[in-house]
Formats: sequence, structure tokens, C-alpha cells
Amino acid sequence: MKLKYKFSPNYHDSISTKGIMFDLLIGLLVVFAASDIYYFIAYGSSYGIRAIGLLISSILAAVLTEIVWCLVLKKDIKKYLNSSFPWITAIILTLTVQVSISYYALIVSTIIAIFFGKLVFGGFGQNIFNPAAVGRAVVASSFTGSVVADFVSGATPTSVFANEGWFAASNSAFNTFISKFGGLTNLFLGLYPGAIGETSVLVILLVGIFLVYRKVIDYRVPVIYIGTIFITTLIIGLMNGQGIWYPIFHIFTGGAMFGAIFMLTDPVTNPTAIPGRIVFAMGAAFFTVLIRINSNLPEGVLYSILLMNILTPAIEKMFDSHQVNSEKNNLKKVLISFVVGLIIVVGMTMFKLNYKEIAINTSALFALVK
Amino acid sequence: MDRWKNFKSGFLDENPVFGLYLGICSTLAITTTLNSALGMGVSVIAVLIASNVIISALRKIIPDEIRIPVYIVIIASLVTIVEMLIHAYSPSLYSALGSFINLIVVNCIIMGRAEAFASKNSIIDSALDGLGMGLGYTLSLVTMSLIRQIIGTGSIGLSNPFTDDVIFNFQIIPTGYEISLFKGNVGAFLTFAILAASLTAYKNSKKEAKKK
Repeated sequence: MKLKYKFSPNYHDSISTKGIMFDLLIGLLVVFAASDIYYFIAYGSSYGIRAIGLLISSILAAVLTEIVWCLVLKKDIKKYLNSSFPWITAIILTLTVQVSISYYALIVSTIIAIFFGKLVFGGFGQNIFNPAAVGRAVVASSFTGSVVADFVSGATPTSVFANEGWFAASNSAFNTFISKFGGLTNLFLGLYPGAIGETSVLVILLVGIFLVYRKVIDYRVPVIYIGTIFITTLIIGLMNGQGIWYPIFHIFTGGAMFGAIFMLTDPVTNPTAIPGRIVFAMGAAFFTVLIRINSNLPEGVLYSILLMNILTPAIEKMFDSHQVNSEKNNLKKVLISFVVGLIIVVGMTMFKLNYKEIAINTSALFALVK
Repeated sequence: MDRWKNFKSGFLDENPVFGLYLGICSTLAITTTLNSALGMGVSVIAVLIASNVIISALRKIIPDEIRIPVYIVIIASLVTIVEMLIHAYSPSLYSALGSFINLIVVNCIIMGRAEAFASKNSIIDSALDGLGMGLGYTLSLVTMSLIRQIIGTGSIGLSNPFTDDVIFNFQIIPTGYEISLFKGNVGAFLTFAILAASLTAYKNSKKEAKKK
């Protein structure tokens, strides 16, 4: 892997921001179309139409928020929208929610994502956090109950496995669990209930390869992210008596693949130095595994992205030197961060506390005291 | 007229919370309901007026070198009195505010006004300044708690702190449409940021109008 730095006169590049965003738009729409066709076939037309309705309402909310912002600040609306791309945020946000979410919840989350995630920081290119991740965090913290009863999305593999504490009792227990969702192949194809765009690893991978080919995203970020998750969970799985399926399940389930291709690669919230990007992706992977296994949240991808967004300036500072001359030094830094992160994550998951047991013990203690 | 101007400045131009960024800790923590916001505001007004008056009366006696310890002794005694009064007469408010009543001692508004105003001005001026600043603080708390309670829980209500009788309670946003984010810490920071930004924008626009 090359750690070379790309020098800065980007103005003469054949790739423009507009071109990048157009390719990204096509990629996102392909992911959406694939999952919408699945909804039409597997669940009936009401689900498919609802997914389209959610997408349109989210895009409209995002665009309207930016138009109001332009009107208040007296900016040229057309010019501003052309260089701000609110629809990208709206589509990514829609793809990460389940089809059963209410229109109200999605619209409010979009508005908060665009306004607090992007506009108050100065608009496109200035935001600290990935705006779509901000919106998803709003959904997770405020609207978990705001779902429409007519649309049953059912238990997802992630939520079921999270309830089990992210470890299967035995290999056969895992087999019976995963066969409910059609096995790991189905997980790869995405034919199971879940977020609208996060389910199909196959489609996301194909779109990801297209985007890498078009130089829209940096291939290092998703490769390092998924690779680190694989290595970390492989070690953790072996230490806890899980089979080879364990790391594969970690990669296929939840938003890992979607986050790797579409959210972590956001050029605005990424570090610019290439070794920085590698550390960024590694850190996100460690946080993902740690949050999944050690916290009581169902999924770790979203918060790992937001946490690494906070750390981006620090990573930038870590590799703030002459990139070509200090290549060896940077490689050392990357390796050290990897080893330290691996030890921390594996160590923390090893000493995973059984919260229920502790709760019982303390109440027994209190009873004794009384 | 100077006194009136001084009194008025605490509301907008020198609003302690959104203009001077003083006493933010308690502002973020206790503005979840209108009740606790009003309770906190009234307690701060009481302590602020009393401490301003006492410090202003003693300003010629207090040696300059040890003025801060003296201020702290005065303010701490006043806060202890207020805390005991609230504990005795309004247990519900006491439990709602918790340790933030004690933390009035270190509320920067009170120390700041003692140092910046009461130690240099006459008793009446200091009392008026305390009232103005205290009302400005209460106004900020009430604004924030109104926004947070309405968006976060969908309803707005007020109850008598001494008897716990409900004075009024309206459901403004139907259930299922409230944004519970605003009840929590994130909502506190978001609301605070919006209000502080709008006050700054208002001040800037006023400054520009003056220039023209």
C-alpha cells in the first residue's frame, strides 16, 4: 500500500466536486433501487411505495431547509444548492433507516442533520460531522418508537444477535439463529429485514467498486475498515470459542459495509493525509467492534463514525509533516496505532462484564446493609 | 436615567447567559421544565440582590487583598439560607433542582456582579443591578425551558411549588410528534447555541444600524 501524498493543485484535476457528487448520487440510487425492487417483490407494493415516499420526503425536507437558509442569509438559492448537495445527505440518511419509520421522524431528522450537522458550520465542505450520521443519531436517540404499525420490519439479525450479547452459545446455536434469516449467503445478498439500504452487501460492494474506479472514494478507507473489523473479530471470536463465521457475520450484518463505502469515505470529514485516513478507518473499526460487543447499543457503526469525526483534527495533526520524507515514520505511527488499538479492543472485550449479574449482586448487598 | 439603563442592560445587551456566557452550567442542567427554571431564577435573584446589597454596604470596610474570600463567605451564607428555605417550604422544587441550589455559590453571575459592580457602586444601584441581572438570568432560563419542554415533551405546564397543585398544563404538540432529543443534554446545547447565536445576530444588526 502506498503512503504517498497527492500534491495540492487540485484545480487542474479532471475530477470536479460536482462530478464526484453526481457519481455518488448514481451509486446511492442504485443501492436504493436494488432494495426497493426487493421490497416490491418480497413484501408487496405498499412497502416499495413507502420507501420511495420516504426518500422523496427526505430529499424535499433537505432542499427546503437549505432554501430557507438561503432566504434568511440572502444568498443566491440556485448557486448555493448547486454547490451544497443536500440531496446526498438526505439519500444516505434514508438508506440507513428502516422502512417502518414514520415520515415525521425522517423529516425532522433530515432537517436537524442539514441544519445542525452542516449549515451552522458553514455549509458543504466545512462540517465537522458527517451530516447523515448526525441525522441517523437523531433517529436513534429520539425516534426509536416513532414507527408506523402497518409496516412490520421485524427483528433484524443485528438486533437479535445484540440481544444475545454478540456471542453465540455454540456453533449450532448460531446456525439455527442465522437460518431464520436464510444463512450467511442471504445476509450477503441482503434478502432479510433491516435498514433500507444497508442490507445487501453484494450491491453495496458493486457500487463501491464502481465508485473506487471512478475515483470518487478512496479505496483505502473501506478496505482498512472492513479488514480491521475482520482481524479484530477473528481474534475475539477465536478467544471466545466462536467459529470462522464470527468475523464474516460482523462484516455482513448491520451498517458495516454501508458505513464503510458511503459514510466513512466522506471527503469532508476525512483526514487529508493518507496515513491519517488509514488510522481514521482503523479507529472507526475498533470503535465499531467495541461498541457492538461491550455496550448495550444495538449497532456501533454510526457512533464509531461520529467519534472518529471528532478525532479527525487530532489525526491530521499526528501526520502533519512532509509526507514524502517521513513515509517510514508515518508507517511506524500507523503500525503502532494498529497494535495499540487491537490490544485495547481485544482486552476490553475479554473482560466484558456481565451487567445483569452485577445488578443482582449490588441489590443483594443493599439488602444486607439494610 | 443611568440607573434605568443599567437595569435594562441585563435583559438583552448584557444578558448574563447568552451575552456574557456566565452561569451556563446550571442553565444547561436545570432548564428541562418551566417549574425548575422559574425556581432557580427566583433563588438566584434573591441571592444576587442580597449579596449585591451586602457587598456594596461593606465595600469600604472589606480590605482589597482578601475581598474574594469575603465575597464567598457572604454568598455562601446567603445560598445556605435560600437552600434551607427551599428545602423547608418546597420539597418538590428542592428535589428537582438537587445540588444546583448549592452550586449557586459558584454561579459566575453572582461573583461577577459582586466584583464588577457591587464593590464599586452605591447600595441602591447595586440592588437594581442585581435585580436586572437576576431577571435577565431568569428570562434566559424561562426561554430555554419553554423551548425544551415544548419540543421535548409536547406539553407545557406550571405547578405551585409549595403545594404541587397544577396551575396550568397545555398539550401543544400531539403525542408521538415530540422530539425527545430536546429533553436531554444534546437538546440543551442545541437550544443554548441557537439562542446565543440569535442574540449575537440581533446585537450585530443593531450595531450596523447604528453605524448607518
